Amino acid sequence: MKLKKVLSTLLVLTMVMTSLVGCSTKKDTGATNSTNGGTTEEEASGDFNITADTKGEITIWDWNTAYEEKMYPYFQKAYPNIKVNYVTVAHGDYMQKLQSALATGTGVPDIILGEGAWRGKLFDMGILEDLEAAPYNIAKTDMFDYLVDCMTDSTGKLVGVDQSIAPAGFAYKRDLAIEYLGTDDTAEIYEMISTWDKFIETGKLVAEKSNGKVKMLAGFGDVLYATKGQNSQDYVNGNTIDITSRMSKALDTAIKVRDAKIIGDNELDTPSWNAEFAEAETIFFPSAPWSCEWHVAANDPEGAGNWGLTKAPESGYTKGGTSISIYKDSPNKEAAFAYLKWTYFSVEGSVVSRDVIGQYSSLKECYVGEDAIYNQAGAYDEFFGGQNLAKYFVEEIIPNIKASQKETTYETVVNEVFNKLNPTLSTDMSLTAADAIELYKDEISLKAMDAEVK
Amino acid sequence: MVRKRKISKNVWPFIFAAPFVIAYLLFNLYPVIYSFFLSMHQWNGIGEKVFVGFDNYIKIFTRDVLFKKSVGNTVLIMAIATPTAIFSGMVLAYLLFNLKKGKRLFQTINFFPYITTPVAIGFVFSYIFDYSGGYANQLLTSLGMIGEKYYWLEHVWSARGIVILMIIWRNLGYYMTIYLSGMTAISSEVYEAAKIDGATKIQIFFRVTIPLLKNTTIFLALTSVIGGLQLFDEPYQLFTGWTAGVVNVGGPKYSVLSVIWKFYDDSFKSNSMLGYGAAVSFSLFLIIFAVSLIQLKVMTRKEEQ
Repeated sequence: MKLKKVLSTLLVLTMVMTSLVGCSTKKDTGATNSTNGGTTEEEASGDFNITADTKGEITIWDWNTAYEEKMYPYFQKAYPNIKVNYVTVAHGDYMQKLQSALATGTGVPDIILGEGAWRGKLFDMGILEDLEAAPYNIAKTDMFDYLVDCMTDSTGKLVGVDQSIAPAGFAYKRDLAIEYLGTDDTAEIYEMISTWDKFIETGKLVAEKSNGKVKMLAGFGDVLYATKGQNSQDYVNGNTIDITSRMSKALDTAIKVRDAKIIGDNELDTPSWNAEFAEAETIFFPSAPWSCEWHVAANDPEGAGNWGLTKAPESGYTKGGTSISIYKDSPNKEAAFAYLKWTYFSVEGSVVSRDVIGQYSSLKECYVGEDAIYNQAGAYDEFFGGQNLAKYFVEEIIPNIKASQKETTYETVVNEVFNKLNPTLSTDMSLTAADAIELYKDEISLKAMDAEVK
Repeated sequence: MVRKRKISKNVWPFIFAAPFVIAYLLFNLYPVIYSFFLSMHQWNGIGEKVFVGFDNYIKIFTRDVLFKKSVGNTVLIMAIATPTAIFSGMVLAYLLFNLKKGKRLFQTINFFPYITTPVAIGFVFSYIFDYSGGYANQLLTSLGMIGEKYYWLEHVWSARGIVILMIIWRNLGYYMTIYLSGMTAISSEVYEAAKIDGATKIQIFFRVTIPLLKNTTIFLALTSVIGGLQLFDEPYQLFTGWTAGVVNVGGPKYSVLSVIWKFYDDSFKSNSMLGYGAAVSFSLFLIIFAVSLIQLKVMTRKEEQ
């Protein structure tokens, strides 16, 4: 009987261990970093000598297959000896897979993408090349000013270039605008919503005309995302997170809009929020250039010609955006840089990008003079009633983007708290901006235990 | 010559056992030990590991409010979901066992959720209980059962209820199948004897079927508790399955944050604290080990009696 007990205990121990291992330790184990690669002395002394004969094979993890399917054939024509291996990785899983690869030292891609939600954490890992230094020598002045901080880590190094510009304005449905605002003219519409107070007043008129059926925006998340972006500023100093100064104004405005009852009740980025694009119940949808394809055209395929783009109240802000970086231990840095530069930061690549995927580079040079890339129609201009989207984003919205902030490791925690509190603030109408700040502080303290949150 | 043959004969059991033992040492035991080693360090997966002794454990048990909350949530959800699912599985198996027609069909239908990918389950349930466009609100408001739409995924107990429902729905078919095989092993003479003695169907279920399925129940209870304490898929997929990047970690007020989700979040999502995450997972290991020992002791004692 005793033997039986011992055997049973051992059996339980084995089962527990085996099952736990499956969900934890395998991910944690592994060797230290890969040690191959590194910037050589020759490279450090000057530029890469990138020519059409440059050779190499690189790997990139991306969640957007458009770059492989539509851009890569053109890149191959420019650099026939560089082979790019695309691995599709969902952006929700990206960091976990990257950390696993780094921990085991195998399979880390040469080119690493950084999505807004976790870019701060990625930049803080110290695994990305400084693109401002030799042999890359990308000048910060070559990219739009508002982007520089977004592509800079907490030590001041430029570690990425933007995949495509992501300034946000408000896309609007022309039929609803004519019916409820009396016009579908971009400038006239902007005049009606040029401040958040005017936005509220216009929203109340729309609500009156439509018996409360038509809303200005699909949900509270849209408003807070905009006001948060508009009031962007550095707020992390060492281990101190000053969330009060970061979010107070954003929350004040967003809650004022919420209390005016002029917005819908859809949670950001959910199927019901997506469905609103095709419904006749919401006039405005925050949109960056990428949203024209992924949100507007994808969710309202029958809506070609019925869309317009205007500026958001007060000022522009950034929505999404993806950094493109080079892994510091990549053995193929020259080929990786050739790909990065051509695809995301060259005039030639930008022209292709405009034509085949409707995305626009953050390289200022693309928008100068008669050859400016927006002088030809982009892929989604027709969908927006023939409006020149790129020109509008670059000339009307980007100059109005007031602030930006450096990416820090706490940005991921703050973003998660932002997502977590959106539904709460949206539904509990009794919560004031001051209450919301307290909620933010409590939530951030729970996740960032070693930080001082004020 | 005789001695040589004897030695070579004794070697065979070791050779046959070697693949499992080696695989076990390499892929199970070593990671567990390494995980414990890691839990004594501060490490983000890239830089140097800094030895911190038991600091991670001290932090977990003294300062980490979310860890305590996650343990409480996990135990609570498991304590409600597991017995309900096991008992429902048994009842369902009993009903199906006595079914004359369509037995296979119902068996297959009930087993489907168990083989469905958790992502799909998360999506389906998120869609059903969505605030603005969800079927639950549409149905209940159209039937006049609720005046205003209810925010199912924003209230503590409704969120937990949905997670419990998902666990039961997903595992019911599995429990049913195991019980069905257990019932097949019960001799029909026992049922016939009970019937001759005048027992009703309910009496047969409670007095004959349940006692004779005791070993099956012990097996299911033991494995379910271990699985239940590792709760992750259901709450995680419910709050992340359908959104494009927006994740509500732990649900409303962290009411469905499980220990594994907490470990995952600390290690890979909100933070990159692999050492701390290892300490969280090792703490869970200790909890599961203790619970399993108690469970085993209680069950073997009953068996001895």
